[in-house]
Amino acid sequence: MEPKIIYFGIFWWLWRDIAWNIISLFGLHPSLFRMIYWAGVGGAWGWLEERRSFHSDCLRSRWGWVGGIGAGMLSGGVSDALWLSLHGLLQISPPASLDPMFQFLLFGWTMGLIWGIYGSRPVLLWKAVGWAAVTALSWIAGGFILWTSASLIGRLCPGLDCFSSVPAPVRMALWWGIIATVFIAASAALFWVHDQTAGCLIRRSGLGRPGSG
Amino acid sequence: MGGLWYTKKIAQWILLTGLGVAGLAPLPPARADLPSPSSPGPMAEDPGGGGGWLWAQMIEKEPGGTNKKYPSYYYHGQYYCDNDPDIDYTMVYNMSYSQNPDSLRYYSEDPLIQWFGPSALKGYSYTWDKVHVCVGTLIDLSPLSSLMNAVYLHQ
Repeated sequence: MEPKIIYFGIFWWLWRDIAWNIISLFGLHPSLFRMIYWAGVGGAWGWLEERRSFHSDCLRSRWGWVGGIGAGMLSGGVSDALWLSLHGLLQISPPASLDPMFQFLLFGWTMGLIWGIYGSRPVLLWKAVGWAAVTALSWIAGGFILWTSASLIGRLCPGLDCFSSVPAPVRMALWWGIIATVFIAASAALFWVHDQTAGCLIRRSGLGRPGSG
Repeated sequence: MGGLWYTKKIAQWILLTGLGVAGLAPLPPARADLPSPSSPGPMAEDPGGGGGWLWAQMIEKEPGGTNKKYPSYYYHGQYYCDNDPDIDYTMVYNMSYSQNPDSLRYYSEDPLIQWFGPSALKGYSYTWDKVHVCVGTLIDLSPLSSLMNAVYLHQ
């Protein structure tokens, strides 16, 4: 497994704590959490992804992290309102677990679109949409790992209320390790699917090759 | 050599931010083991078991934004939420008389709770202006600074 996959998985898990501390230190409203959280996740992923082997012109610019922060702020800032609008539009209550999946889809789509637009010379909609689709799909794959793990853990240990007989620090360390592992697995799925789909997109359509836009 | 330097820098950064910043954050207000009910606290299997509360029922997890309420304080103790010896947290929210407990839902911006939070939390009330919500040990994995922001109620 590439070290970057592990770094990102651990960062993804730790960033949540750091984002809460930013909210607390600066006295920000908790509703800003989603925007800060996704900006950090997007920035880190963009920064790592632009250094990966399948470099295309979309990611060669060394500004992938800026696109990631922008996509994170944008998608994190509107996801709540969009979800509620969707809820109102459909007039049904979708399962709560679909909301985080929706955030993944929205972030992946936004980030892919930004990368695609930035990497296209001239800007071509189909190229941007292609990048948006493969990036959204990759985040859905990462989300799927989190979803299945959370469902399994939720069934075995509702509310993470297990290991009650062991001392609190040991229990916390156990949970920390288990959930960090889940995030690393999700990170692996995310990077792997993005490698495969973006590579396929580049090979088959020329999307992303320098000068192909 | 470049790879090793890169690895060390990343590890240092994660340690500094993850552990250092967490230690700097101010603590939220806590009231340990308050209130002190004269009867045993509500049990997981019997949230409405006659312990002196006005109502007790499960509060489902659902995203939403109407009348968001964040906790005003929390308390913790061993047996308020279940019979396990571990320390469980209970958040207390202000509630108005006009609010129907049946329509209360919980949710969080925190991805840990979005993904791993139970489908429903135990809620109960001793007075019509306060709601007590058992979050159990879920909060163990949240920094203290997020405790008062981690779970909100809405309708």
